[in-house]
Amino acid sequence: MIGLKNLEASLEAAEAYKEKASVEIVAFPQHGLLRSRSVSLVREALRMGASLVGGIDPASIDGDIEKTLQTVIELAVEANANIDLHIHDPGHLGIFTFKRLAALTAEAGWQGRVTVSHAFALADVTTEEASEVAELFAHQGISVTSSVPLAKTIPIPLLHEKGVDVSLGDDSITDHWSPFGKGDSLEKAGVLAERFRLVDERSLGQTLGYITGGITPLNKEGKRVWPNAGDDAHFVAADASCSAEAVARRAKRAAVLYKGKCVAGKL
Amino acid sequence: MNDAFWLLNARLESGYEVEDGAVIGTNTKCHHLLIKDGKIADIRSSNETITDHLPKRDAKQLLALPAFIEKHCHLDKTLLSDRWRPVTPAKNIFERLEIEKKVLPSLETTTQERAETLLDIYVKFGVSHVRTHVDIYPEIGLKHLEDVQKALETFEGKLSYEIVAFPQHGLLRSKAKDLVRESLRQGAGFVGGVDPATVDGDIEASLQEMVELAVEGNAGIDLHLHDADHLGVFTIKRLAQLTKEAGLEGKVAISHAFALGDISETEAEEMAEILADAGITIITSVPINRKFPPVGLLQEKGVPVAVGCDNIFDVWSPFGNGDILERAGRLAEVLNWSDERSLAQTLCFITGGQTPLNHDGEQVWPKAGDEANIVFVEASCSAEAVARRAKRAAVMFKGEIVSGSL
Repeated sequence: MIGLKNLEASLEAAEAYKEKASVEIVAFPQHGLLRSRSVSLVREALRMGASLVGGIDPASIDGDIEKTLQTVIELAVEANANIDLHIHDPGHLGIFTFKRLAALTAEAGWQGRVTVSHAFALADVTTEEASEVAELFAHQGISVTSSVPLAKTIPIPLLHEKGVDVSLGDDSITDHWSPFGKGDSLEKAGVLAERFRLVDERSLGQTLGYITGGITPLNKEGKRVWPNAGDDAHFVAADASCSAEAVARRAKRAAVLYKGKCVAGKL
Repeated sequence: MNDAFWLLNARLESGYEVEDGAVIGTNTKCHHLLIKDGKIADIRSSNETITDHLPKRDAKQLLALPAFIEKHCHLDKTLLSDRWRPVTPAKNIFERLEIEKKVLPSLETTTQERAETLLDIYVKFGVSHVRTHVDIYPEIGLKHLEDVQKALETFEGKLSYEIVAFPQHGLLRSKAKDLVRESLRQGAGFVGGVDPATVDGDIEASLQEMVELAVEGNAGIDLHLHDADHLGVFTIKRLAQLTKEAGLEGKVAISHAFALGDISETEAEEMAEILADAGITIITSVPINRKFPPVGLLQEKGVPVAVGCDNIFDVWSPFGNGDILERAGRLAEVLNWSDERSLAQTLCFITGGQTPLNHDGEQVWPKAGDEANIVFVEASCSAEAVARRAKRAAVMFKGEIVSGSL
């Protein structure tokens, strides 16, 4: 019904902010890739500037796990694009979907190019089962994005420990799905820390990695690993004495630099 | 008392907009409020022109909400205004108690300063009443009580308060009975306590002593109960019996009561009936790292439930910011109360039960004669304020603007 209208608007918004932040766009067939017959629209979206193939619950929305996953992979390979799938399907339905996705990722040689958003099923199964999926994801370079839903949270520290690249997102920010969401990634990191009792200095400091693409000023051993000469000059000047304080106390952001330019606040 | 004045153009909720049985919006109307002797003396439609010569202030169509109540905090524990310091690992509550005992006296800031910093935050966020626990144990005697009372004096006229004499190291374990008794004479209104089983090691003796102190001091009770599942449930049942025997119905609260979150719904229903019968309030800080009492079920069964922030950057937890409205929003988010009515009704947990509209959408607050304790927020309705953590533009306590401006 809307075709590529939302994509065009998003591309315009991204263009308007291109000096302030980088944006990647997922072509997301919200009503089901198969269910809403959106394959050619997604293909067209990838040509127009979307850089990832999206998808949603191959089982409960599209009704055919195998066909949806196959189609997603085909679209991605054809356009040389990455993949980001919303998978809310619970319990072993979700787990089965993850395992098929991992197998297809391996077959297509798409390691390191697939993300599962939400992955709620990981919250429904035993630690052993979640660990198995985590190992599979780590092996295939499948990353996971979570909004840290408070009612039911997937075992994020376990995934991280197993080598899965986990990042956080806000997802709904006062929309038709949810009235909550504040758009503050640092607040999200603090919620994650509180949720999983990551309260000591080191754990809090390392929590920052979930909202920075894995970068923390100190590594686990306390050695400084950021910044290094040559790094992109993207940084946040926070009103805090250390990363741990910034995460726990939701530090005030005094200034934000993007590519060396101050894009918010003042320095 | 302050002189009477008109507060013009205050936005009040007037009803829910319903379509096909679902609330699809909240209607509001602007009113003029006559503020007199700390109360809302009269409420007139904003279509009326006020012709008397009383002073006027303009609320600029900001939404008025009943001021908030912080039902569980520790003004003597926060590290706010002192420097950042990490939470260091502790194997159990006893190790944590020892750490706290050492750290607090070593700080460069005073208990009073830190308490005032937190009180200042509360006032700005719209809190007009706090219940604070204050540590009472032999090494410090009544010092924290005195320091917290000084801080509260500084905030005289900005909020009201009640103090719980809290034997943090165990009423029996630290032999704090005489100190708690003395605290009740010196201004504390509640006997506190913590885990009669795990901390004191004798549920019966611990509860008996609490009740005895409360009766003798004509005080209430507010027990910290972290003890889990059946241990906690057993303790709650016994406290309910003792509450009724002593005639303390309506004066007893249990904070945390984690056990109520550990049991089945059927068991929780039974517990809710016991609590309602004994007039015991449940207070929760809405933890996101463990189960907590089924707030909706308790409320349905007639158990008063309140939300408090509890730890705000202290030796126990690095989190917490003193925004009780944010805490209400968290409750709604955890319980998936995202529709208009559920969000709006969530406000009752931080206002002592008051909401502008009742469940059926009838306006029940404010009424002429109500205390003029009001938060003016940048929101179109209660639901928005709770979900979006609305900015507090001004706070009124007993008719005086105590934060922000109008």
